[in-house]
Amino acid sequence: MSGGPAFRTGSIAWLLAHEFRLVWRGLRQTGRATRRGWVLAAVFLTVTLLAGVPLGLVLRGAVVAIDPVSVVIGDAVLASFLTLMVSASLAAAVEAFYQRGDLDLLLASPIAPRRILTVRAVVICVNVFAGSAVLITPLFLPVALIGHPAWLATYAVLLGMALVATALGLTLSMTLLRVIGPRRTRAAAQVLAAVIGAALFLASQARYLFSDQQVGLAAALITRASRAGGALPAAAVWPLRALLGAPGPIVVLVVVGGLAFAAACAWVGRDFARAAAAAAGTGRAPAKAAGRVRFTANFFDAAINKELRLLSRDVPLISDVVLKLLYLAPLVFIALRGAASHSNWALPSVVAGMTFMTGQVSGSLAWITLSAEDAPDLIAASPVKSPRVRRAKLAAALLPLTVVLAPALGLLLALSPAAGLAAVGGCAAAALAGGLINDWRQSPSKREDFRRRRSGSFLLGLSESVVGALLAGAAGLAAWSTPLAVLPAVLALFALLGMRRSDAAIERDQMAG
Amino acid sequence: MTDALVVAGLCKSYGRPAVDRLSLTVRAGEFYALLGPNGAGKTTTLRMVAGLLKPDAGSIRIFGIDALAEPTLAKQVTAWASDEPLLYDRLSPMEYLEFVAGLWGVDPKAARARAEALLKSLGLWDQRSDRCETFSRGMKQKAVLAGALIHEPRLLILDEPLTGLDAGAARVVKGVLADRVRDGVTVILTTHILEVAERLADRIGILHHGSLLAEGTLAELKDRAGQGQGTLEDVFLELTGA
Repeated sequence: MSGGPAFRTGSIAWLLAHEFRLVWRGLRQTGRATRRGWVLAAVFLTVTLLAGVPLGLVLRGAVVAIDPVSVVIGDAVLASFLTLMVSASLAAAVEAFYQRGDLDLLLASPIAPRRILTVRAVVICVNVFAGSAVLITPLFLPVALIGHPAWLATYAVLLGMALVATALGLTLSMTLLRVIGPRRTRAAAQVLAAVIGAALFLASQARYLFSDQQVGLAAALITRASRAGGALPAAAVWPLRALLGAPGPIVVLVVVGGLAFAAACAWVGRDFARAAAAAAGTGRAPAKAAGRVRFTANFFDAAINKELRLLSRDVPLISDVVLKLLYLAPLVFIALRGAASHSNWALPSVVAGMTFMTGQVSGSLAWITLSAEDAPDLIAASPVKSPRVRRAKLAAALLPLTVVLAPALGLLLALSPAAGLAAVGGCAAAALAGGLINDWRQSPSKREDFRRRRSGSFLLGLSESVVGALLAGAAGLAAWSTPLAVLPAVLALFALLGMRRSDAAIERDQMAG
Repeated sequence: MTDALVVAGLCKSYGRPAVDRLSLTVRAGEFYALLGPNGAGKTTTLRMVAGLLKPDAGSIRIFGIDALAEPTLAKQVTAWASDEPLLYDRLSPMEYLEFVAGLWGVDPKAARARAEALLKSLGLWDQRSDRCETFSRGMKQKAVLAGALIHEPRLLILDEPLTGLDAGAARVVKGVLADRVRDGVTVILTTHILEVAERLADRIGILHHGSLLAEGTLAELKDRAGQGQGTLEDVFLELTGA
């Protein structure tokens, strides 16, 4: 292991060089990754030229006044980014304890564990910063370069926030390890990260959970404060001022972030070796498999039992589904409220949202049952024909979704039969479509790759989203009772048929070895 | 009596031939060891026999069933286990056996009784409700073997079943295999542990560059290699020129 001659062996810089070399080689590893890189670069460039540059020209002369409205908007945007960053850093920080990789080698070496943790923390911070920077750059960079160079300070703000988020992620993960123990921490952190990530969406939905009267009151209060021109608290104004390029707030934010980061590294680093050792030991303790074993000669029943057991014991999957159900919850609430009060203005959009999210959940479940088979040789060597196996797996993926959605759809049907019918049809079609796409386009993977499944197959992710969006449109229009609903439905059908592969073709791929 | 396995003119190529016009016959109730250096085509051959890989050419008959034309029928009497214990980490051995029994349509009552007997004979009974993710490699290998035996196959195909097993676990597995052969089950096994082939196999085939280089009992192979007093290792090294 050599980080290059420029750094002293065993130093943080030397370890960082080693980490980044591994990351770089991972990126360059496959031709597929390179192709994906070119596609992303093309999308990035297109958005920059077609949307970013025109936006920059429009906003060239714009002046952002520091008033209560802009402060609230600025703070809300930064708070949203911070929740996403904390969610990402928490997930990554927990993995720093559990993922072995070269951790055993490093901890067995005479390098101080705190130094190893610091390097891991820097990598997490860089990833979190890069994720946000890449997200805003196509639209933001042209705006800043064309008319507002001072706004480039936003990148420094993001860096400060990434430092804070990494510190929070590390601190939270170590706290979880201490409070609930290494066995439960990984699962809890994944669910917590999902919930924090969803906080942004839930907050955005809050407006719909309140009555129009309550929303109007809040808006009036902000406007009154704006007109009064009273002094705002410095802590509320500084984030916006930092975004606009004021040096003082930027320096404070970055310094505070740096201090938080250093403090977290020092605190977590002190016990890092012990925590990592405890995390490594969790795999050896026997975990009992609860539930009765029911032998059956019926393959379909056996397959459903097996898949449902595996789904219910898959923590990353459960956290993903919980996240998506959290997205669904406000929609269902609004739909039921709208249906109950017969003020159906929101129903079509909510039905569309429910349909889309159903397709997404179905895609996740079907990917796990169909592509992430742990023992493909066992299935292939059995006397059960491949299409039967695939159908059983698809059924197992759709079963839990049906159980979760049935009460909400039943209630909606009772309150508003037309919208309920559209939602039932839309959700059923989306669930089936998400499942079928994953059946036809399955690519053998490991369960651990679940979170990266979309990056594994660009076509799969795109098709799921496009077909899901079209079906969502159809369901929404159907809830509106317009015959136009047929149009997106037919388009979805064509898109779905375009993805179809015959049983023989799928079997041929499975046998290709 | 119908032969357990008859392979004729079997070919599989990955750019270069992995299996090249291979023909071999394994008699019913025989313990047949397939040996060969790394890359000789042993695993590719067994994967084709088990129906996991489609051959480019040739025929495979399992107890008289054309395995390429009637794969489902052939698989009904066959079991496959490889050196990489592909299990469901989040299932217990009992749950794993429940699933495998369902795949082969084993009567539930018989399946439960067999599962219990297998887990006891393989020393996994106390761990029957533990998730496999907590198991050592040897325990996983034994769970996979239990799965391979639960439907009482007539032909058991094992690719390096003893890899990574400690001496105790290896002895248990060898004992279970020997018992099965005594009961009339045909076992085809690849291994790099020549002592296993030497002790257990009725006949030994040596693959080299995808073709059968030599085949026979240990005594016949020794004669052929001019190693009358030598070990199987001497014979193997002599014949393969390794």
